[in-house]
Amino acid sequence: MSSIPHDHAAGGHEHEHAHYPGGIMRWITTTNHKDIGTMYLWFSFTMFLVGGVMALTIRAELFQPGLQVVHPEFFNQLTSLHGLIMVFGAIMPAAVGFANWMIPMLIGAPDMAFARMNNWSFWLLPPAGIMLVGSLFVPGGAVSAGWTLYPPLTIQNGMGMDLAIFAIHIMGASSIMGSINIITTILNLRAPGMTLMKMPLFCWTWLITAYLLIAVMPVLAGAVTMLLTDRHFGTSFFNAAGGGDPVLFQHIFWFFGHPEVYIIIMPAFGIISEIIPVYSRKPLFGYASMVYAVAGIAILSFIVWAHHMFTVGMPTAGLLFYMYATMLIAVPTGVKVFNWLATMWRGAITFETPMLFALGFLFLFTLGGFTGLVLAIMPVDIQIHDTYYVVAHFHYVMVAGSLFAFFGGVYHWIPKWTGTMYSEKLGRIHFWLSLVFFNVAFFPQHFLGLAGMPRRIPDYATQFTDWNMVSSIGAFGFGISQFVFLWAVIKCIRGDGAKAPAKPWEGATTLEWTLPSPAPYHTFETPPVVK
Amino acid sequence: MNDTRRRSDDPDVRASIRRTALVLASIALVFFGGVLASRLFGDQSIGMTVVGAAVFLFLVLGIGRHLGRK
Repeated sequence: MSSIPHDHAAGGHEHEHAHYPGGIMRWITTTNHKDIGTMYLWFSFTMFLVGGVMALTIRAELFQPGLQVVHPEFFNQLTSLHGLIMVFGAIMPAAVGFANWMIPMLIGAPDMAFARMNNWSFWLLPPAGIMLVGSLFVPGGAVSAGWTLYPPLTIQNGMGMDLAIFAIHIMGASSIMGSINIITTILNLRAPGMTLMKMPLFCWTWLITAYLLIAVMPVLAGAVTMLLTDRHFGTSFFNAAGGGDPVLFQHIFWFFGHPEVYIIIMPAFGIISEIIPVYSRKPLFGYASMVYAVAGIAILSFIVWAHHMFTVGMPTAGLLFYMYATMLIAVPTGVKVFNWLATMWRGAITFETPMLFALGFLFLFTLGGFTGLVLAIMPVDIQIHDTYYVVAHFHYVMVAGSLFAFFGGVYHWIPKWTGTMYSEKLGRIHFWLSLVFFNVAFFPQHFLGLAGMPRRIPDYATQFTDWNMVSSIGAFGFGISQFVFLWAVIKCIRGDGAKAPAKPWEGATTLEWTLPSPAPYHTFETPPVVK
Repeated sequence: MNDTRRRSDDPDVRASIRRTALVLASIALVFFGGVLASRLFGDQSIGMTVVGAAVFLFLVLGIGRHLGRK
């Protein structure tokens, strides 16, 4: 439920005075959820740029056939690190940044339940990020087996793989601590009167995401621990030469990896569910069904992992089970898409930048979901497994899905964060450039995949040249467009824009809009009463 | 550290927060231990045993606390 009648006067009184050290010590020692959320978002954007530069180097190499820009070994390192950095360093921390900023304000809590652990969760990330990026410079270079870290290649990789394992452990610990914090906060610190079924949907999506994280991050940690012992302590969990089973790693990895896809997309669902009702000036259609759909997606995500490995050789019954189970996910996902459409139906819609990104998300994520359904069809997947069709599919889900939702979320809440309205002109330029160049970059990859171009190769047959050129031009355009976003955000932080009122959006009804803009350092120390 | 004042200073709320966090942390440990144990001892049933034993323990503790309160 996105519309919450509340009695702010009864208890929502704020403290304007903030006591914190100045300079860098504020950021190192802070336990304030807003400061920590800000740090998560900046860390995420920095890693997005780092991973983005890697992507552009990949696309520069693929602009034409032959080897022009990088050596093949380095190309493999770039594709591997690009994936790891974007998943663990950019998208997940961005979602946690939103959670930190918004969950306490959406549920009327003064802060996260474990404020000091929150600080620690964040500060584990920069060393892990540095380790991942730094692994490029150690002897043997970074991990080059892809972000999925499949053995036997990862058993044979150099020291960079050890750094990647260490980084994944640290980021995993950070994620688990963050998840414990989020669940504990939501279950224990909601304002009086705010029952679970009155919570804004963003909190629901994060509550379920956090449970998923707690269940699957330890499994990934277990898998990479076994890789580590295979590499250095003489075990043979996955080493076929010692009697181990490399395919087992794939099963364990994807038991983590498939729910991970939903860990990445569900907070984005939450943000979209906050944006669409506000700019449609209608309550979210089918709130309860949205909650059940998210829970349904989460449960199903645990039983579909082997659709990522249809080609390893499985019994037909197994193939059929994973195919049908995967298709089943389209049902709750469809519920969500139709509920968003129904929310807009006959609404008084306006098209500010957050709504544009939400609509972009809706259109492109649905396209990405549809290609996922194509890939779920086992006989088709066997033909296009590990081709550029798969690359196109997951970039539609992760970039046009998660990233567009995060951009929409930033534009939606930045007036509350900074006290300054963003430039609508810059926001629109950012949206249209991103939308056009994203499609120019990734839509042709469907054609390349269907024509048989394999992923993770630095060179290719000449018949793939034209669409690769188009894709590379799109990728560079998309990358450059993000500086418009950076400019729009910096303008807000510098106060260069109209002053934001407490509630800049007419249709906004959730608790954060009862606070002044920018939100005071301490909020809801006396809880509001939700009626 | 600069801290914020929280209404979670209420001892009951603190106890509830600690309890929730402990349960969640133990779930993470069970999954980590389960996946390692199942491979370490070379038998899938070991992993199932670890997870099953943990679920059983959670149930016993949950029911025990409930009865204790009565």
